[in-house]
Amino acid sequence: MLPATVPTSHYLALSALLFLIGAVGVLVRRNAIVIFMGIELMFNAANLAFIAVGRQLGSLDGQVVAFFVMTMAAAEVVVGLGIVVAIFRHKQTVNVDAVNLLKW
Amino acid sequence: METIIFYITGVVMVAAAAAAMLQRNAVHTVLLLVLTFCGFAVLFLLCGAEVVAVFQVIIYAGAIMAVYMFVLFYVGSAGGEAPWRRWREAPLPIAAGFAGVLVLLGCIAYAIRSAYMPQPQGAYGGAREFGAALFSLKYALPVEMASLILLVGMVAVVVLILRPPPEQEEED
Repeated sequence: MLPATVPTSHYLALSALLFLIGAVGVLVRRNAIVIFMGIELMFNAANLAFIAVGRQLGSLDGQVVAFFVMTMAAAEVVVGLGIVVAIFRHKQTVNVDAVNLLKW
Repeated sequence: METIIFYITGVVMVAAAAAAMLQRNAVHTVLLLVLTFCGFAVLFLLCGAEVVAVFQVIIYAGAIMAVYMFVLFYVGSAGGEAPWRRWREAPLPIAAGFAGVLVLLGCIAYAIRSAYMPQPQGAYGGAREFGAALFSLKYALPVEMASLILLVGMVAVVVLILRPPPEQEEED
């Protein structure tokens, strides 16, 4: 018989798994846009851990922190993709191996 | 019921996230990540975080992934890449990286197992309580800083995009 509520450890395990998938994506991929998406996945996995622990402790702080993380992620995406577009206009590529100089 | 939804959603999310990260076509990556983020919203609802779940769908699955789509369409096929081809280029570092990932996973599993956590009461929090907590004096400074950071992001993106293309820059 399954328990009525999911134990917090299962939420944390799922969160860790998704975080690792995002981290592997960031490390393995060379497309700057896909690297950003891996970072998004990691943000969301952290949010899941915050909210699951907040439920465990009976506190709303976890949800509020997750909300702020989403705000930061939105700002990060806008600036990051702006930089990607600037690099693309400069170099006609978004492959991070081609962007290995700080100037030009 | 909650348990069944959790496990089905979790399996779908892990499969979609893994497929997204191994996908050659970046547009498919975006679509699979939208599925993953909707799964996050379901889990947030199970935890009682209604407001965060709604924002997850609107902001993440909607707005942010739409921005990714726009940039992908702008960049075109320049983003094409075969992630598995890199195995032959550098097998040793990649194998070492995956070994490190497995060690990290083991450490996390051990830490989670050894932590004492009583069975939670169930879903906690609602929209009314969340709003009262977010706009209480406790979070007044973080809320203002978040608004400032969003403003900085907006200004930064305008500066980045309005800069003239490199050909015109080199003339002066």
